Amino acid sequence: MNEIVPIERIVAARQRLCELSELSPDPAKRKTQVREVMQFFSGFLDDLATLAKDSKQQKEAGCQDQGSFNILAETATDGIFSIDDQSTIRYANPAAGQMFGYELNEMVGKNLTSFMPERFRQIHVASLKRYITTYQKRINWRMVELVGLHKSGREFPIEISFGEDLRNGRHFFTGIVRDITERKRSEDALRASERRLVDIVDHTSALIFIKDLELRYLLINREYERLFDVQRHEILGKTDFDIHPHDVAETLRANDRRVIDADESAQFEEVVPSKGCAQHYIVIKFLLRDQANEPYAICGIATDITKLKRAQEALRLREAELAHITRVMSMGEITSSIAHEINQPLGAIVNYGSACLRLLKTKSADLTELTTALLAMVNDANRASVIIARLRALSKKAPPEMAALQISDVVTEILPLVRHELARGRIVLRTALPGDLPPVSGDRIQLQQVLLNLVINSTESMNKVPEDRRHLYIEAQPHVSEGKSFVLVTVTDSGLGLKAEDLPKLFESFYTTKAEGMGMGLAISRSIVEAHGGRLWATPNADLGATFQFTLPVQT
Amino acid sequence: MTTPETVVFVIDDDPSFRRSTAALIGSEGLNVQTFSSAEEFLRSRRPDVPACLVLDVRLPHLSGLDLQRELAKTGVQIPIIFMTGHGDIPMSVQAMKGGAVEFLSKPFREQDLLDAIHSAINFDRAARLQRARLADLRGRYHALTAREREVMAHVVTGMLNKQVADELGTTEKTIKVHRGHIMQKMGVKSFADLVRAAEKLGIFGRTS
Repeated sequence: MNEIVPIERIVAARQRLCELSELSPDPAKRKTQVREVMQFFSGFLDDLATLAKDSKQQKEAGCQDQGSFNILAETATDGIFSIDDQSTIRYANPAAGQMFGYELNEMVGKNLTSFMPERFRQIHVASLKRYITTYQKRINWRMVELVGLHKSGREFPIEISFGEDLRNGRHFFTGIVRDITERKRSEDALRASERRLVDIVDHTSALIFIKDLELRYLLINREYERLFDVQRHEILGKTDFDIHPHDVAETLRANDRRVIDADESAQFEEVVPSKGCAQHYIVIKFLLRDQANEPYAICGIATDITKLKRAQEALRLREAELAHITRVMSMGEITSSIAHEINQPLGAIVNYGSACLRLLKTKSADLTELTTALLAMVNDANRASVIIARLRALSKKAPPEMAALQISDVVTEILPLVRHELARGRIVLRTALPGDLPPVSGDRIQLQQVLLNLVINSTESMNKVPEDRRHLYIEAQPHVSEGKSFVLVTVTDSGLGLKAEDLPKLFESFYTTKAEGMGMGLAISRSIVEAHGGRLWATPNADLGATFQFTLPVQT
Repeated sequence: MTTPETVVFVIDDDPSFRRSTAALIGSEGLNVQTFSSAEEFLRSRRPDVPACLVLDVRLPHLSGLDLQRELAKTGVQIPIIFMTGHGDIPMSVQAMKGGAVEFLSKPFREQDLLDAIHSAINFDRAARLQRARLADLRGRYHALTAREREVMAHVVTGMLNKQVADELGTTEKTIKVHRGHIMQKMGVKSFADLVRAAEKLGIFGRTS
C-alpha cells in the first residue's frame, strides 16, 4: 500500500463525515447516504488496520535491514545522503564526504544548500517546499545532472537520483550522488573530437558521404551539399537514384556494391553531372565498422579531378600536335626513299604507256600484249596511290583513334616507306612478323610513327659502320609481364650501339646524338607507347648495335 | 634458237619497272633480257652480239656503280645507260666518269631511252668491229717469226732496206725478202697499211 493513500483517505473521510450533517429529508435516500458513508468508513478502517500491520512488519524487518544498509552505504563508491523536509542532512556516507571534501559526519546537520553553488540554493528550497505541499515534482528524480560545491569552493558535476520516504508524517529524501567529472570530461572530449571531425569534413574540398549498407545516405558534407545543391536533412535516407540521373546512379551503385561485396576499400573514377557539367572524381570507398568489426556503412571520399582531366585532355592534344610535328619531320628524313617508292611505279606507268602507244602505231598491235601492259599500269597506279595514302595518313593531323590492330600489319605497312632507305644503306632486313598475334588496341598512325622512328634511328646508326655488318631485324611476338598479356616488338640493329652515358638520357626530350636531329623522336615514341599502356626501352647489344623494344597490352 | 643480232640487258630490282622497261624496249623491236640484280647479270651467259646495259644506279647489294667498276675490272666492255629514281649529281658524275653513255632520271622520255639504246648499240657494234680487227692483227703479228718482227719494227720507222740491213748485220736482199713475207702475213697491201697496223699494235718505232 502506498504511503500517500492514508492522507488522501483522511481528507476524503472528513468530507464524508460532513455529508452526514446534510442528510436528505427523504428516508429512502437518507438510508442510501448513510450506507454509503458506512461502507466508505468500513473500507477506510480496513486500510488503516492493514497500514498499522504493515508498519509493524516494516519496523521489524527494518531492524534486520539496518545492518545490511549500513554495510552497503559505508562501502558504496557513490555518495549516499538523506535530508529531512527542511533540507537538513540527516545522514551522509563516507563516499559523499570524500566527494564533497568533508570529514565523516561533518556533513550531517548542515543544510543541503551548503553543498550546492549559491545560484541553485533558492531554487532548491522553493522546489522542496512546493513538493511537500503539492507533491509536484519540477524535475525527474532519476539521474539528474546537477552541480556540486566542494568544500574547497570548487564546483563539480554530479548526477543524483532521489528517493523519498515518509516517517512519522515527515518527508525524508535520500539521494545517491555520483561525481561525474571524469565522465563529463570524456564526454566533452568526445564532443570536441566529433566537432573537430565535422569541421574537417565540412571544410575539405573533397566530397564526403556515408551511406548505409542499403546505400541510403546517412551523411554528406558541406561540399557535397554545395555541389549537388542538396541539404543534409533532405538527402538522409535517400539513394543516388533520388539525386542523380539513372545511369549515373547505376554506376555509383555498382561501385558501392563492389566495395561491400569484396569487403575491402577500392578506388574509382566516377563521372557525375553537377549543374550541367560533367564532374570527374577519384573516389575512395571503404566500409565503416562497428566495435565488433562488422561493417555498417560505406564511406566515400571523392576528389574533384575535373580540372586535372581537362588539363590532361589539353596535354594530350598538345602531345598529339608534337607527335604530328615529329612525325612529319621523320618523314622528311626518308623523303628520298618515299620519292623513290612513288617514282618507281610512275616510271613504270610511263614506260608501259609509251610501249602501248608504239605498239598501236605499228598497226599490228597484239591485244594480249596491250592488255598485259594496261593491267600492269593499273597495278602500278594503285601501288603509287597506296604509298601516297600511307604518307597522307602519317602526315595527317588527326586525334588518336584507338582500334584493334594486328601489330604485324602495322609494321608491314611502313616497310615500303623505308625499303629504299634500307637498300641505299645496304642494310639487310630480316623480319619475323607472325600474322596470328593477339590484337592490340592502339592508334595505327602513332604506332607506325614509333616504328618509323626506331627504324630510321637504326638506319642512321648503321650508315656509320662498314657495309657488310649492316643488319636490321624486326620481330613481333607474344609476351607476358606481371601476369598480363602483351605483344612485344623488337627492333635490333648492328649500328654504332649505345654508349653507357647516353642510356639514361636517351628518352629525354631534346636529347640527341645526331647533328641534325631535334631529339624528340624517342621522347615522343616513349610517350606514345606509354599512352597505349606499354613500355619502350633500349638495350645495347652484346656484340654490335642496339635493341629497342616496346610492349603493347593485348586487347581484352 | 637463233642468236639475235643485238641485245639490250635491263637490270632493275623493281619487278614492275623492269618489266615495263622491257616492254618499252621490246615495242621498238629490240631484243631484251632482264635481270633483278647485278649478281644475276654477272652469273648469266650472254650472247656475243652488239649490246648495251640499262642499269639502275641503286641496286641492293651490288649497286649499279659497283657493277660498272666490276665490269671494267674484268675487261667486259659494254656501254651502260644508267637510270635513277631521282638523279643525284655525285652519282651521275661518277657514272659518267666510269664511261656511262647516258644517265636518265625516272620517269624518262621513251625517246631518250630508245635513242640512248640505239647509239649505245651502234657504239658497241663499232667497238666490237675494232676489237675484232685488232685481234686479227695481233694474230697475224704473232704468226711472224722473231726475225720478221725485228725487221718489221725497223722498217715501220721509215728506215731504208739498206739501213735496216746494216743495222741488223745482213744484206739488203734478205731484208727485201723478209719485207715481202711480212706484208703477206700481216695481210696489208701497202707500206702505209703496215705502218697503221704497227701503230694499232703499239710497236711503232720499236728498236732492239
